[in-house]
Amino acid sequence: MAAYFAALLQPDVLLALLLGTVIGMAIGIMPGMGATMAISLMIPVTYKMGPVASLVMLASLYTTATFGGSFTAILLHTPGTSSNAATARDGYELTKQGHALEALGMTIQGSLFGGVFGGLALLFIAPQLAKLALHFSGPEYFFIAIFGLTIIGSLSGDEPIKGYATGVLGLAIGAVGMEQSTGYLRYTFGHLRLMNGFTMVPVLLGLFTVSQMLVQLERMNTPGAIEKGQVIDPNITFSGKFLMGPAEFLKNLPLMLRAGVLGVLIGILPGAGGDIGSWVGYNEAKRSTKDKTKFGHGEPLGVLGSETANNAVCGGAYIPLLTMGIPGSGASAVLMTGLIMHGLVPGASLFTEQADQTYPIILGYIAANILMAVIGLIVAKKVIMVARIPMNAILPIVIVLALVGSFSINRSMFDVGVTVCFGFIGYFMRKLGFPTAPVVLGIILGKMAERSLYSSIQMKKGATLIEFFMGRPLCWLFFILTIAAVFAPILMNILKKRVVNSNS
Amino acid sequence: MKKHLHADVIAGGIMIVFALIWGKIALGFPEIPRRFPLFVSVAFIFLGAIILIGGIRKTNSNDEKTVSPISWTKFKYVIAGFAIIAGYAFLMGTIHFFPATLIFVPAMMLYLRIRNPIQIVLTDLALNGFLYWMFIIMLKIKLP
Repeated sequence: MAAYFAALLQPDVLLALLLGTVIGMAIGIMPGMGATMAISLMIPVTYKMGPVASLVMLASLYTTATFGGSFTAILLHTPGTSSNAATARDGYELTKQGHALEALGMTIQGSLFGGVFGGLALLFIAPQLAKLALHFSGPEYFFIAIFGLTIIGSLSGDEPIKGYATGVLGLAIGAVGMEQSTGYLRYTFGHLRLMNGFTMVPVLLGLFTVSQMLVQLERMNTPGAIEKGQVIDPNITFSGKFLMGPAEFLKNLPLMLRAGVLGVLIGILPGAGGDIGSWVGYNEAKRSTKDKTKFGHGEPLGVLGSETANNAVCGGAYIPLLTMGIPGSGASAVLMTGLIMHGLVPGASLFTEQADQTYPIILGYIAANILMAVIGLIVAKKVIMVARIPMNAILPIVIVLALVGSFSINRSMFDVGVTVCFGFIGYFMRKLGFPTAPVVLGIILGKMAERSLYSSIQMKKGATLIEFFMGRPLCWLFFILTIAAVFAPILMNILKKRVVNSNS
Repeated sequence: MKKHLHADVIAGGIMIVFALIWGKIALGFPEIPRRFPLFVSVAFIFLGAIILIGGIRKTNSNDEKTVSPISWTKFKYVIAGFAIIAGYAFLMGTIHFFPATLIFVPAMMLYLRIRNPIQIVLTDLALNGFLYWMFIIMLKIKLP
């Protein structure tokens, strides 16, 4: 473990940690940006960095963007990310009552606790799950890929069919290029650039970043839209109580532990992200308090519960990602691209042969949560100024970063063109209600499914494929999980509606 | 009450047409390489049909919220913005990155109704300076 700490304390890793934390907070504070876009935008920047520094930066972005979004949720009633919706409910009420600082203090302490708790869960649970992955080969990976593809529905909100459709689009995109078993070139139309298929990062930048900017462009031209940045109430006071004292912290510790556990479990569930986590944490706070009348009218414990849970979700989402290559959320699906880009293949090898890289990344993630809280404490009163930066000043900067990032991967203008085209496609997908995150899963898992299926065909010898699969217990396990995943979106919607309605 | 064609009808139709073209091309591949694309094609047709049928139902319903999610009034701004972005990408490949960016940033800011010349110039120079430092000096990546 000492060696892993030493790897974390390298100058490039510490710089990456600091940058990831600061940039993540800034992006989280700006409504409409979000962790997924932050990660896709920063992946090209990390390309030339070492794997530990890169993944520490990307992991920091995820958790700190979630944290940053709580500031606008509390001060402007505008959640910076969907994970902060529950925080806005009581956080903004506290601001109106002159207790903005107390609300910010609760979010800082809750996010710190939840983030570190999630990181520790990742540190201790993931290696155990990874041992299970040692028994996987072609047939198991085929069913893991199918299972991963079926969770696409969970990422799709109210219309799972559209999510499956974009997942299939991802399969189609992934099929472009050289077929892995025969070397045959599919859908390249003679272009050498497509021999290895579409490079992931330009596609991601188009679908997540450029498309989002086109949506923002449309919003800015809607009558009544705020295009000069969020307006901050000049009457907000930053005085009075800030942080919980030791006695209050100990009193609220059971709530934070429960919210942390729930957050980690929700993070592990593929497709259940921070938005569900924050409502479950909020609900847990309400459930465990005798006087429930203040909830919805400025109850600090509501902020504490939701922020603890939504930051614990981030750590939980990494567990299936690192152990089996199944992203627990849309943002972690994008982060998987970063892992693969740096040669870190999810599975058992991450905790054995590549442990010298994986454990520093996990420790870096935990450190990011601590650094995030420290920075939050220092700049709590001032950081909200970031939200005042108008979107029409940010948009050109983001576009430039997206296109230059796209170029920097292969130093190819073709990739820039890919980003621009997928940006346009992504805009239409968003407008028509098709989620973009499943495309990432489709591309990655489609290649895994095809490769594993071919490997299974080679392994089955005289048996039929179905007989071969059914003779392997782990295949049965993932087959059952796949069936469960098909019904998961329905269950998640019921859970979400029940939790939200019980708090309205 | 005038009925609007629900956007899902168009989306489903596009999916089916795409899938048919995709599958037709795949039929020209040898046996092993065409299996997966044909599966994708069938899946896309199936899902496209479900979305299209759902769109027809929504069109025929009396739900007054069945309106197009894309209005021409707003869409023209998106088209114009996209044209500027595409033009920037083209310029990047012809007159190289930094000159193209020096042109693009003010153009886009003016299009987005920022009129303060100092803000425009400072943003343009600061962004180009930062990108030069980040990519050329720190990451040692040669830009176009």
